[in-house]
Amino acid sequence: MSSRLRNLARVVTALAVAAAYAALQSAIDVGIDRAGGRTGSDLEAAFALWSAVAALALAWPALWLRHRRRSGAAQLVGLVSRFVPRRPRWSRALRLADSVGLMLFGAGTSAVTVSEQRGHTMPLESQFLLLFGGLATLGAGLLVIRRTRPYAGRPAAQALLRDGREPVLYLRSFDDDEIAAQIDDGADFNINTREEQFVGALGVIGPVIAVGQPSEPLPRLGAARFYLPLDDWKSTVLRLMDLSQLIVLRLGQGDGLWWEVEQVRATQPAGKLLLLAPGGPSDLVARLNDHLPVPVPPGGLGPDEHWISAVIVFDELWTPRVFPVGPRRTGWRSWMRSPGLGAVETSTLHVARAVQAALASVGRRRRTMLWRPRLASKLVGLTGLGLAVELVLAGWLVYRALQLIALW
Amino acid sequence: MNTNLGGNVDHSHQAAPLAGANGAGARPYRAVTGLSVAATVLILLSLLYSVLLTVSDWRVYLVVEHYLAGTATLEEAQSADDFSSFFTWWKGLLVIVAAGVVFLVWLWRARINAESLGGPDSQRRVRGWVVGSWMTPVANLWIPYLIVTDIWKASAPRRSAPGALLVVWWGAWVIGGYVGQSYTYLVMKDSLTEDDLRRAVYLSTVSTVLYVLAGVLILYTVHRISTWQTLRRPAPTG
Repeated sequence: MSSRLRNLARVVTALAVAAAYAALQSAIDVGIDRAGGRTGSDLEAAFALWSAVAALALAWPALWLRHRRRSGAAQLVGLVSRFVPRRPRWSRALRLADSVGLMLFGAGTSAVTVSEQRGHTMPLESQFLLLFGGLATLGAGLLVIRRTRPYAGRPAAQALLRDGREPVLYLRSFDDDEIAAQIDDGADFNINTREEQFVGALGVIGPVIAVGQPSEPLPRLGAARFYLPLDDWKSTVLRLMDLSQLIVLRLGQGDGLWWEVEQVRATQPAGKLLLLAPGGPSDLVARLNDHLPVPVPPGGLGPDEHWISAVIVFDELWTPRVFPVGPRRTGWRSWMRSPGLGAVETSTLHVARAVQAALASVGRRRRTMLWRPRLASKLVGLTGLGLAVELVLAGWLVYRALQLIALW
Repeated sequence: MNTNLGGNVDHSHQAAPLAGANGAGARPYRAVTGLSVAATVLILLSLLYSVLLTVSDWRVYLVVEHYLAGTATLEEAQSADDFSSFFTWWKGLLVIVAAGVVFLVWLWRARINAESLGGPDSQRRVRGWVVGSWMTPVANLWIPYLIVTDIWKASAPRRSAPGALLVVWWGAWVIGGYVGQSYTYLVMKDSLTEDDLRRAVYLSTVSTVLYVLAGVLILYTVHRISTWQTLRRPAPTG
């Protein structure tokens, strides 16, 4: 399934659900009015009817697109699901608790923001109620998600099934997971790890999957993990290379990783590979050059202060193009940022910007790639707020339905 | 607040000696004395404006009270009204923006010096927050406090903590802001009752007292940090 079709599927499904909700809500309102002996609800009855028709009309394409998404991912899911360990039943409770935590966090953040930005439109008591209530709710949400987030990672098979697009395969040395699990200061509440932010950026291309370290007690946050046996992993990785639309490989130590470099070079088209060169002095680029017909130009890497110093892509003849990672040096945004007037940027945002430029150079233009790493912390709050709104809307529908039942 | 949820907060990009905490690289010592004087004058001006505004509010309130009691003349009411008409919103904004901009430039320079003086781990938040945190909702409730506290600690000769001084400064500033918003809500109402007017005057007084307290404490802080940084500045080479 292409990104465009996936977006269409999302819009159609959202419209179908909204129409169904409006139909149900209006039908219940009409029922309550009639049970109460009130008239004049013909317009609402017509609205309920037409909303129901719209919901039914949209349900068919929504279900067809869902079927197409799932059947498109079936082969990959079949390949990966054998290596995804079964989760205990209680992990569902933790995921539910995580959703509650997100709701509290989102609602609390919104309340505090309203108290600050709309405070001049309300009395002092309301301001303080929103401020202290919001802070308490926000704090409770943080406490909950602090405990539950490590359990909230989605297994690879589920991620592939939900997304439907061809995946992005993320290969790296397991030893480097620790560096990617660190959190940079870029938001008021720093919640997302580097890998989560990076995977968020790559998410505009496809679902990101990675082989998990067999000894880890819980999947790390970021790329959706699956676990291959230590003595039999090469054939599955080779098959996944064939089925992926992009292979993102972080250069590092380890013979397994360099076997992967060799295999990509031998079996995959050049435009499918994107390399991440780590920061700091290392002999990795020299080792990489042994595999390339044209060596990576010396001195092309970015500053060593970043966890990734450069992004490398290749043209059809495997000639490397190097994109250094670092803050933007030109333009008005750079000028704004020098005294701290722009948004606080993390090193992962710089990596995502280099990836965006690198992919554009080989014909894969992705305008929205920087949104997710830039808004990572805001998205946590917005997700929570969205969940809270959904819960309130569902609760309101149930409440009105119970009212109708009581009247009849 | 670095809420470490599933990972470790990284300070590695601050690890190089004299490197900027935002990965912006080392910067030479920046003079802060002149800016501290300018910030002091402008902050004092904004405090004076707040005090005069509160005096004007009290004058209007007392005249209204006396007028309703039949003990004030129209001339007295006119005089109070003339005095209060001097305090327009744009004048207040101008004074506060001028003081704020100069204070933030001072803070930016003081932060750069603090990074050099205090070492790589002395600052908890990256440099971008020095200005950005004042304008970001929710973040502006505590990050500016962390920034100023870290600059104080890195600049003080024995890295001594500021103690309650900055807690009181920050508490007064935040609560004063909320009380000030509530005052705005009252005076922007379409029609004011006598009770509303009394409440507005009380809120104006509380807000001004808190602002003056915050202002005096931040002036002391600016003075101390500037003195420490000037005394500890590296000797010129060559």
